[in-house]
Order: sequence, then C-alpha cells, then structure tokens
Amino acid sequence: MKLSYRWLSEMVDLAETPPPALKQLLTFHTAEIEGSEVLGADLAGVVTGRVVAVRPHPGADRLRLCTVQAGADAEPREVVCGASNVAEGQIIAYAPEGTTLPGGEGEEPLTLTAREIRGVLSRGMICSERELGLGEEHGGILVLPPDTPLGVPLAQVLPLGDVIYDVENVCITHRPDLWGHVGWARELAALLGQRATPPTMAPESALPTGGDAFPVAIDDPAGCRRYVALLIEGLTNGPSPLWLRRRLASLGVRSIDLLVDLTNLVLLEQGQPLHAFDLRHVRGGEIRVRSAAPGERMTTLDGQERVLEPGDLLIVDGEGPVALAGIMGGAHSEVQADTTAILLESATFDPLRIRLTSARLGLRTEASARFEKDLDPELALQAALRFAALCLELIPGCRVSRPVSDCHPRPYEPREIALPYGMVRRRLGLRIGDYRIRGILTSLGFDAVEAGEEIRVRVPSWRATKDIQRAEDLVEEVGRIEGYRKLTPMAPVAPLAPRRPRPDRVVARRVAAALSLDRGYAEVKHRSFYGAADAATVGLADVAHLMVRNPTSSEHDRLLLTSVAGLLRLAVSNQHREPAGRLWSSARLFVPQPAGLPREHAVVGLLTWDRTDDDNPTGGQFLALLGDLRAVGERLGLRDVCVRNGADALAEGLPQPAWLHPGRCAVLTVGGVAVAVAGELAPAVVRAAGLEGRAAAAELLVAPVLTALAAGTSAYEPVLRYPVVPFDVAVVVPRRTPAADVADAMRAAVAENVRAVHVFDVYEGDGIPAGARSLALRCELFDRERTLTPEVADALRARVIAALDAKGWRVRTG
Amino acid sequence: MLDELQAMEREALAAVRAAADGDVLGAVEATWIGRKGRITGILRSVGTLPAEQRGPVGQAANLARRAVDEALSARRTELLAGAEARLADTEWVDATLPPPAARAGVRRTGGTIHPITALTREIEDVFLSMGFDTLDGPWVEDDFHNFGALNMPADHPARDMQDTYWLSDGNLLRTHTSPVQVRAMESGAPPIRAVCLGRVFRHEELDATHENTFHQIEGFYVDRGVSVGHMLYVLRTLLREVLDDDVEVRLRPSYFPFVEPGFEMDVTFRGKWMELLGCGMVHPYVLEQGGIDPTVFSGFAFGLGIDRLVMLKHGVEDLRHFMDGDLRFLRQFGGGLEG
Repeated sequence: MKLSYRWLSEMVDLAETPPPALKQLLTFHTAEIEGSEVLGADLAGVVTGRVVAVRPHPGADRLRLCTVQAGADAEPREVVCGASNVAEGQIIAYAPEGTTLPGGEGEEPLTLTAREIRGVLSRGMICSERELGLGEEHGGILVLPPDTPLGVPLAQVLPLGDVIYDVENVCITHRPDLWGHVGWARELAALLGQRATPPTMAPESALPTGGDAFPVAIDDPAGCRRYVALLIEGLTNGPSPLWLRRRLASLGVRSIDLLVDLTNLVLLEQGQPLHAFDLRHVRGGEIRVRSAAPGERMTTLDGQERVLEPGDLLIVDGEGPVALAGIMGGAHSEVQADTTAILLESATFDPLRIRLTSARLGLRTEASARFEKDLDPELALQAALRFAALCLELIPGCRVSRPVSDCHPRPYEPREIALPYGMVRRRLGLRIGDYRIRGILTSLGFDAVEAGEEIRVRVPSWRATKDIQRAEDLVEEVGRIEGYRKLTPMAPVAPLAPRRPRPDRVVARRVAAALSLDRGYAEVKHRSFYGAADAATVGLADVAHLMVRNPTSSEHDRLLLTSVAGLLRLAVSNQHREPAGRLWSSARLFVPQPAGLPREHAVVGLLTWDRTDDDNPTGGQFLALLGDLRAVGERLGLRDVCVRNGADALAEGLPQPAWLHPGRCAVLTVGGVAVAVAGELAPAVVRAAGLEGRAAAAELLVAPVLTALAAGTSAYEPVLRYPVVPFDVAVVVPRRTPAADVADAMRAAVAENVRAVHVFDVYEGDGIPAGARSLALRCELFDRERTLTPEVADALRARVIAALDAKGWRVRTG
Repeated sequence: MLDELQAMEREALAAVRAAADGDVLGAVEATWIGRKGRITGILRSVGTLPAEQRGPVGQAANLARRAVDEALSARRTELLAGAEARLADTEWVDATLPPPAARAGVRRTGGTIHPITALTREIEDVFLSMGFDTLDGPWVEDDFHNFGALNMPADHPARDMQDTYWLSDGNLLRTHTSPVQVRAMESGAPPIRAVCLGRVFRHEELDATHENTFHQIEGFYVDRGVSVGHMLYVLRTLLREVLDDDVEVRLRPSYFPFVEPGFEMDVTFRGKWMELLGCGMVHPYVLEQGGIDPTVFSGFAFGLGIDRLVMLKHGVEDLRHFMDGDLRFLRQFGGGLEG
C-alpha cells in the first residue's frame, strides 16, 4: 500500500509534521512503513521556460529549432525539438545542458550535453512527462499553464517533492479502513488531535429523486452485502488532467482515460474499488449479482476466457455476465473513448468468496486485494457519491440521471463493547486516566459512553467488519495511540518454584558434551527432508515415507527416516577438504501413521568418514564409533549397556538399517531394549554417496534412553571385603562366535561367584584351525561372605571349564 | 571361419562364467577381446579375406565380441554383488570385544557445538533461571494447532504470511513454534510460564537470505494480570543476558492473528535499532481454544528467530552456513563449551 504525503496533507494539517516525522508517527502508532521516496527529487536543474520562437530545422523535416528563454533576464538558447505539439509562446519544462534526467520506467538516467543534431547545436532539451519520469505520456512535450512563472525550478510549479510511503501490507491485513488515504487521514487526525477534512461528496441536490432507480438485485446475499449503482450521463471521456495523471503515477497506477482514472482515484482515496460500465453495453436494463453456474464461462477485460464454478460471484445484466465481481470487469462492457453514459458500480463483496475465486484463477487485482480485507458496506455509497462529485467537478455537462440504486439487505447496527477502564490499565501495564482512554477512542471515531467503572463503546462501521470485535481490540487502540513508548518494563510477580530442564533437554546436553567435548565430533544441522536419490543411497528407495505435497525441490520431497542420510550428504560436501571427519546431529524421524499425526522419533545421528581407511579396512572406524557410543552412554549415566552383533530397526515403523555393513554392525541395548544401532556403512552405500574410503554411522534413539534414565535407581553394592581370585582361560571357538557369548557362558556357570569376565586377547593363525579363533579371557571369582579357599576356587574353575566344554569349545587353560 | 568364431565365442563365454574374481576376468578379457585378443585378431584380419567373406565374418566377429563383452560386465556385477554379500563373512568384526585399550578412553579435541545449539542453550538457561519451563512439540502439526487454534481459520488471509509445506497425510510442517502454546494450554492450567525451542519450516527457495528450515524460541506467560509491561521486562532481561548489558527495547504496532495487541520489538545493538522479534498479548480466542478463560487470565507470547539472532551476534553473512555442515564454519564456534 502506497501513501502520498501531499494527499494526506490535503485532509489533515501537516504543517507541523514534516515527512520524516509522519513516518515515525505512523510507524510507532499504526503500522510499519517499509520505505519512503521523494518524488522528482532527481529533477534538480529543470526549470520553466518560454518558447519564444519556433523555426523549421534546416536539416530535418520532422525536427524544429526552438528558442527557449528561461526567465526574463536569461540568455535565449537554441534547442532542437522533435515534438509535434511545440508552439511559440508555450511555457515548458526546460532541461539545460548538464542536467541529469531520470528517464521513464526501465530507462537509464541521461545526462544532457550540448550536442549537434543534424548540423545544429542543441543546448539542452524541452522535456516530455516521460523524460521527466513523471508519467508514461510521451506524445509530446509537457506544456505548463500560461500563468506559470518563468525561470523557476520545475519542482516549484509541479507537485514534485511529494513523499510516497510504502506501508508493510502485513501490518494492515486486519485494517480494511487503511486501504485508502481517507482512512489514514482519519488515523493521523486522531494522532495529531485534529479533525480530518474529508473530500467533498456529491450534494443531495445533484441526486435525482424522481423516477425509478436502475433495477439492481442481489440473488446471492451471502456473496454481496451491498450493491450501489449510479447512472451518470452527459459525460465526455478523454485524457485526464495533469494533476490526476500525476497523482495516479506517483502511486504506481497507470493513466487510462478520465473515467477509469477517476475510479482509480476513488479507490486510492476511499479504499473502495469501483467499476464503470458503459451504459450502452448494459443489456436488458438490469444488473444482478449471482453465483456462477458450473462451468460457466466469461471473458475478463484482459482478454482471458475464465471457466467458473459455483461460488464465483458474477455481475450479470439482462443477457449474461458483465464482470467477475470484485476482481475484474468483463471484456465487452468497459468504458470507451466515446462513452457518454455509465453505470457506476460500488459494491461490497464477501471477502472469502473473492479470495477463493481470485486464488483459484490466479487473478489478484487491486480490487480483489481490498475486498479480501472485508470492506465496510457503508463505504460503498460514500465512494459512489465521491465519484459523482469528481465527475460533476471535472466534466461540464454531466449529471446523475437516475436516483441512486442501493441494495443493502442488512444495514450496519453498531456493535457495542463494554470496556472496563481497569482492564486497559492492567493489560497494558500503563497508568492512563479514564478521560484519556475515552478521548482516544472518541478521536478514532468510536462512540464512548461512560457507565460507571467501564465505558460502552460503539464501533464505527469502518472498524467493525474485521478488526474491532472485543474489549482486547480496544485495549490495542488505546495503547497504540497513547504510544507504546510510554510503557515501562515491569517485573512480573510469581511464587518461587524450582525449574529444571526437562529430561530430553538433559539428554541433549549430555550427548553434546560426550560427542563434541570428549570425542571430537562436530555438531551439524541437516534438513528434515530429503529426496528420492538420497533415499536410494541408503537403500530406502522402496520404503514409504511421509511426503511433502508441495516441495520446493525434488531433493526435499520426503521426511527423513534416518539421520544417516542427512549426515551423509554433509560428509560428502566436506570430504574434498577434510580427508577424515566426525559429525553428529540431533534429528527427528517421521513414521507415517494411518491417521492423526505421524510418529516422531527424536534421534542422535553419528557419522565418521576416513578417506585413508581403504587398503586394509580392519573395521577400526566401526570399533572407534562403538567406543564413542559407550562414552555417550557413560555421560548419560546409562548402566549395563550391552552390545550384540547385527542390526535391527530401532523402533516399529523405522526401516531396517540397510545402509550398514552386514558384518560390521551392532545393536546397543540397555535392559534388553535397543537404544542404538551402529556400524560401518556398506561399501556400496559409501560408493553410491560419493565418499571415498570407508565410513561408519550410528543412530541413537532418545525415547528408550529417557525410559532407562527415568527407571534408573542406584545400583550400589557394598564394597568387597574379601580378595578376588582371577584365573585365565583360552577358548578356541568358531570364528564368528561372539566373544560376549563365551563370556556369558562362563558367567552363567558360576553366577553367584563371578565378579567379571574380560576378553584380553584374540588370536587367529598358527596353531588354530582355519575358521576358528582363540579368545583369552580372565574370569574373576569371589565370595561376598568369606575368602575363597583354593579348593573352592578350583571347583568353580572346573565348573566354568565344564560349561565351555559343553558348548563344544576347546579350552586351553594356562 | 564362421565355425571357428562360434567355437571361440563358446570358449570365451565359458571362461567368463568360470572366472572367480576380478583378476581372472581381466585375463579372460585380454585373451579374447583385448587389444591382442583372439576375437579382436579375427576382426583385424577381416580386410585380408576374400570380398564375399568380409561381410558375414566381420558381422559374426562383431557379434561375438559384443556377446563376450556383455558377459564380462554381467559377471563383474555378479562378482561384486557376491563380494558384498560375502562381506558379512569376509569382513566380519566382533563388536562384543572390548574396545582396544588404546582407543577406549581417548579424549579427542576439535569437537564443536553448532552456534544455534549454543545460543539456544544460553536462552534456555536464562528462562530456566527465571522460572520458565522448557517444552517441545511435534514438528509435524495438524491444521488446528498450527492455524485454527491460533485464530487463523481456513482461508484466513493471514495464512498467506505463512508459506507452508503440506504433507501427504494432510498434516503440515509447523510454520512456527506457536502450536506449542496451544498444546501447553490444553494440557496445563495457569500460571504457565514456558519456552519452546525448536525447528520450524517455511516454504522458501533457498539463497543467502532465504531458508526453509529455521530455529525458533517461543515464549509465553499466562497468569492473572499479565501485562505488556511484564512482557517488556522479560524480553529486555533476556536480550540483556544474551546480547549486551545495556540493550534497550521498544515496541511498534504490528499484526499477528494470534495476539492482540500485536507488536514488533526492536532492540538497540551496536548503536542501532534492529527489528528483532514479533510478540503480543495472547489473543483471547487462543486462550479459549486452550481452555483458558480470557476474562480471568491474560498472557503474553513472543517468537524469536534464533538463526537471525546468531547472525546478529556473530556477524554471520550467509544463512546457508547453518545447514550446510561446512567444518570451516563450524570450527569457529568450538570454544566456551560446558558439559
């Protein structure tokens, strides 16, 4: 929304409020002003001058040689001019050499120099509107009124120097009254303690009372709240006067012809879209507002044929559609150069209906943007009368030819809201008197009647459609007009109560400490979505994901089912700089559900890569990663973390970790519940991702960690008072028998008397059969009640060895 | 000649099938279709044949060469797949072994915490110390919690402000942390003092100043008699803790459907006023949706973009650094960590 300072100053006294002050005032009391621009600020140097002589150019038929005098004492200058409308005696805008002209829209600025044109030296330029950047008119030079003083800067005689503000539209979404200058003038008047001078309306005397009004009917009252039609005859159409073209151009509206320009002027002034139909093309002598039939077609004035649906609002005459209501006129009913009679429409349409149609057709116009805001139906009549006043003023001989047609099924009944004075003060935290509260509301056009400790506030129609519904809305009005800068920070008063971070935040911090502080990992953030290619890389091409219906890119079209995919992408982008690295992230995975919200799993992902881990990949990265996970477990305070070989989905709905190396993967469990999977990445996955060497990855599920920590009670055992008796044993087992199985078997044999079993050596090679390996384990025996005698220790040892034998494992004691 | 070629092709294909590894395959390739291969030799000699034989022999030799070539690549893929399948055995590592002593307790330096995480914690700590709870909610939200309950019914024009990613199940990626407000009110009763720290999503094309993934802090305080002045105090306190001791704040009117009145808050930072966050008094409709009586209770709420605050605080020039995992960026934020 653009605002003209000069236009506002015609309705409110801004003598004490220069443009920067106005910007501040609006910013701190009404809405954000995104920017402001001084119009014609770049026309310094252009002056008014008289064409004292016009002669033919000796070298070109279409050029003229003009003598220009900029002021009585100024030296006359020869200027070559190509415009056909230049004539002796005219007062024109003269740009001497050295002046820089802004040029029209999309053109580069031009600095004038004295130069020869077909053999004659031309010193400067007689300017057209377009060259001055004032408009699109370039049929000829700009001719100024005959009483214009000579030799003065153009800015003094033309409405240059106006300041145009750009209002942040989001801030006025809820303020339909601020989509025209009149609304802003009202707002400013309240802020400055003035009364705004509204533009003049057509007087009653100009409106015929006899005869019938033009027939108008609303067949769809839900879609149209008011329809005002005004017939004006005896018109002459044509180009608009300079001031009108300037005013429209300064607010970014192109001049079309006088009648269309006037509808646009009223739009910008009142905020009410108008539409002028050429009365010759309104067939059958009536206008109706109805919903479109299924598949009904009409051609809008941009020449496009539109296919409509029920719900789209149409303006129809006796024969068919003449306009797509509130959005765009029809192709065949618009005003023409020879139009002499019009039907002016000023209506109020349902905001939602307009919004739905304009969104579906992809057709957003100045009109639809305003109707979407929920306009005040009272404005419809006012805007029509304003249009009539402008016609009567500018087009001699025209008249309103029929009584006003006004279909207004439900006139506004003022809404009344009770506002306790105390609520205003309490809600804002501001000391403000009753009198001031009432004064502010009154200045904004509210009718405020005191009733004891509260006031009964009647809402003016222009604030009632959307904005002011309840007392809180009035609190805002008082607060912003009084000024939020008057508020002072005030500490809230509340009972002392301890607060601790929630357990998942504690887990997040401990994980971060373990990985980033202790183990040298870099925490990264990756996106929560990825694409088909990345899913295929980790073997999830055929797994059902939660999909994004409107992705911004095919790389971001589904939600993650493993953090490994996100980490892998970041590892790849780092690897050309970093031969090896360690990353972790805190992520969420999304498992689609048949109904309701998807299941979200908070996870911690780890990924390491090493380009040099290639020739003899011993699984070192995998074992190191397991060590890091154990460190995380320690930091978290998890007891009894168990590791077993293999890989499994961590929770129902999560995919099998197909990305892991089938022989180098493990599940970590706590109390029998899986909390993490880890492994080297399958070489095929590493290759597909574009990494070199080997990489390893793990995923830790947060939920079971929280459960384990919540359940965790102290596992204190009294310190042992009797010595531990260790013995070592070497066991030859099939190569892929996990060491943990061997240790478990030993523990089980002497459950009451075993403190720990450790593997301290692994051997394959000479002396051990192929396909087997020898594990050396230390078993620590004890008894809580007494010192173990050698005899008892021997017996226990024998039980351990018997248990191993029973498994078919060959024991080599030492 | 043609019979000979057929025999050669049969022999070559058998050799391909019999090859047990890549080295053998290479040798087979060299023998038959390499530069000095036997089938290659026949192809080379076609020119010396009588004219009427050149066509058929040349064609047959080419076919034979292609057949062998295809068989070679098929066998190569097969061997690779076999090797991958056998990895489970050939590269098996026993994860149940204790970690090598040398590695077990090693502490590595050079780790880093993401600057967004670091600042989030700092803010979280300030709020915890002031008696606020920390909350979290789902990242995938339903229409009601993201829009409806926040006074943005279907087709509310304010939804244009929220460029939303919609999902195949009809839900959406939350566009702000405000749904957590509603969930907190649904599940608790005033006084509620809470912050929610989390990820939000906006439908945006990516460039230096536009992201589709952000991090936000949502704070809200609902109790009897909560005022704009209280909000000013809490936010100023936060910003003084996080940015600078002498930060000043100011409010400008703005519009968000879920607050009334609504504000933009500016903050002085390094001598300039900067636009920082949106805030306001929780809209009575939102309180009602959360089951709280707006005639008894009032509250304030604010949403602060952490990404933006990190950029402001550290002078980060490009929003994309936050999500691209570049270690050269991340290493600059390694220091000052606490356990």
